[in-house]
Amino acid sequence: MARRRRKRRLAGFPDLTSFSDIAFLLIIYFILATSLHQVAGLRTDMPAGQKARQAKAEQKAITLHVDGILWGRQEVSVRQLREELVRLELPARDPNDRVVQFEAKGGVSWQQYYDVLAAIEHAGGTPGIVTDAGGSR
Amino acid sequence: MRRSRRRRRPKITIPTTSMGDIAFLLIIFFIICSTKKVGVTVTPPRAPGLGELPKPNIYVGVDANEVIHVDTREVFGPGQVEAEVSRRLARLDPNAPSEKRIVIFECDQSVKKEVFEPILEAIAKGGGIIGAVGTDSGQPGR
Repeated sequence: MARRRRKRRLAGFPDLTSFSDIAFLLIIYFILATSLHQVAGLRTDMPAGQKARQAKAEQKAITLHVDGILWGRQEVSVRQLREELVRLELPARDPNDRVVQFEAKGGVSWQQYYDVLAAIEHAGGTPGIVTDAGGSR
Repeated sequence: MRRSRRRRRPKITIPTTSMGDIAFLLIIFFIICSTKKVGVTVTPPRAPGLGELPKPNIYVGVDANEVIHVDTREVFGPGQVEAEVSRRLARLDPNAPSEKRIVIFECDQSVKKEVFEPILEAIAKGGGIIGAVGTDSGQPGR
């Protein structure tokens, strides 16, 4: 009787040979499914239509040329622009008053444009883009 | 003589238990190798103090050759970008958080204003919030 019982148990014992392979498969799956790289960038909610026009008339606008940046009529570097925008204390203002008028002239590259966008975002502002058609969005 | 030779022959058995698993591993390997890359290959602009962007709901890319892509599909002109963005955002729940409205915009740093600005306008007109991809350059300079 005892011998028979032992034999039955051995016959029903699960085969563990492929367990390590299953583990490997799971590891591969999770390595692939997990993305450790986070995309960096700017989050910009560009105002459309009237909202952009609400920027204060007395506030200086940014004009971006291929060879430089104008803050009002004064030529500034990206660093100086950042400082000037921080001085405006935009985060303390009403959300509608945080719009900074920004116009880019022809031939400006995305890198130059991005520098200005980053400066506006860093200062807590919202870029109000003035297009070639003459209106701001 | 014949009998003794037969006895000396060793029994060769090839274990085939894990053959199925090996096959699975190979299938997975080839699936991964043939996966299409989402997005265009660009040199993103550099700027200091960039934040993290969420995983893209909608992706718009412009490569150095000024070819525009929405996700993996090539589109022609800002009009199609706007249509695609507004169509995709219309599917969203009106009460969905603003994070869901973020459109990841990836553009090569050399692309000119005449190309990218109408696309930015199109994304904004389509109701998207622009998440402009860049590389963090650390401390502010220049």
